[in-house]
Amino acid sequence: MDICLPYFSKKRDKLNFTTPAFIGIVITLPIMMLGWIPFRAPDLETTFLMWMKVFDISAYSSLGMRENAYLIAFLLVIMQFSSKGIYTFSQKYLRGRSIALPIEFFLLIIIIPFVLIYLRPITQFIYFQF
Amino acid sequence: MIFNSLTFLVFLTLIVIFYWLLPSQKLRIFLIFFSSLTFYGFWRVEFIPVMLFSVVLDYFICLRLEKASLEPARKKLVFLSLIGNLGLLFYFKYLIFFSNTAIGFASLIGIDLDPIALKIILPLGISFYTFQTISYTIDVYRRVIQAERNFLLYASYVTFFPQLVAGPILRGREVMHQLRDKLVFHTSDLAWGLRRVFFGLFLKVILADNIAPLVDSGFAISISQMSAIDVWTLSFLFGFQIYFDFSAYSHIAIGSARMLGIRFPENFNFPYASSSPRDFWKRWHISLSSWIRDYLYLPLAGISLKQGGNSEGGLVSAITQTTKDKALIATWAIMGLWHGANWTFVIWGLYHAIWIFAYRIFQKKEIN
Repeated sequence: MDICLPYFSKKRDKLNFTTPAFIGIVITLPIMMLGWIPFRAPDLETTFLMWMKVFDISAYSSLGMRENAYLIAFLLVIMQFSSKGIYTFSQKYLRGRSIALPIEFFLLIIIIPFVLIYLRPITQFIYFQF
Repeated sequence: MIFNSLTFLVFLTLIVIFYWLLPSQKLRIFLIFFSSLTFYGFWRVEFIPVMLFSVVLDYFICLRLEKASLEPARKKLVFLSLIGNLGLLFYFKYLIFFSNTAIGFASLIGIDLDPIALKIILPLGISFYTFQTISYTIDVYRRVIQAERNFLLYASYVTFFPQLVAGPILRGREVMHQLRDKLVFHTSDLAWGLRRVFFGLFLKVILADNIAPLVDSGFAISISQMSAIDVWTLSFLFGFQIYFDFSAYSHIAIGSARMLGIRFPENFNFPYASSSPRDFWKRWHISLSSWIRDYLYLPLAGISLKQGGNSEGGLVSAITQTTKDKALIATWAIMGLWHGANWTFVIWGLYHAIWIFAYRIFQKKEIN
């Protein structure tokens, strides 16, 4: 309510009100994500057809991919929103404190074996093609 | 040699050990330069001369540029550098694309031409090191930095292996002084660098590489069978894949350099937490965005730079909005083409131009 009321109030200009960051993020994220379609699509025709699908209401009634794809995409969005919070929290409350070292050590103990197990020079980095 | 390999981890370990054991900075620069050539040569040795051509060209041009006092002569030298570097980029990256486009247009007006039977391999990292050498020359031209006389030091700055093939695109003033000064070993730098390297590898091998099959299978579905939800899911999945993949490279590059005591600027800052399209480009591939702004957008818009040589130094502006808008569109079309020789990349660039343009209008209304 604190956010909405001044926005619709006549005194909005006097309060020097701007769009809250959270609304900006919620609008920007899907716009930026849709922008990756031409980056990955094989040609212009595919790009425009995929973009047109987004505006086709009747195309929202089916699912064509494997089930876990939707779940993973959803989890990644959640992870994305929480990662900024976790980073800010760690910088604010853990940095320079004695508890930071064991936490970091614990994380590295998990990360390093995983990396060494899965380390395979099979896939190039995407930006290598540029 | 690629970062996500055991070969690279062994290579990096050896370089770090030898680097800190060497007693003088001259020897360290020597090690950096030759290890960078070795790193690049693991991919294809025959493309080392192509990279060295760009390095040598700008080295000599900048030495002449510093001595030249007359503006026309200085401009000619910058022009020569641009012709050399962009010519190289055009031949390897865009020749086939533009010739095929021209053949396509010719066929539209009834002229049938045979496609060019050329097979050109794109040298790894050419888009990055040419931008780096161009920025160096323009900075010398703008008198932001002085031309480096020590060839090995300058060549090490361009070819420095952590950033050679996929950035961050470094400016001379960010790195060259670090290569010049004898750096002191700190275990904290080594530990910090190692953490960044492993974090980068985690993003690449655990996250990006496991999202990739989902994206590949999604894009393999025919459009007629694809739903709108699939399009949204695919765009999000690929958005995350490319973010983890590319930020992983930046993490490894920044971490590897730090293990040698050299600090790189950050290249990503939570881009998907951006509150506007403009904000996104301040957080995604920061080194490229700032390069494009300082060396392409501002000159195209006719905005000159004050002392400092970048927009942070302040802007001198008496330019119409139309000129700025035209510059914005041209910049983003070029930015798209820089990413790849395909019209899909141009559309990608223009898509972002449209949103930034829309945001400008929205922002003005909101301020008013």
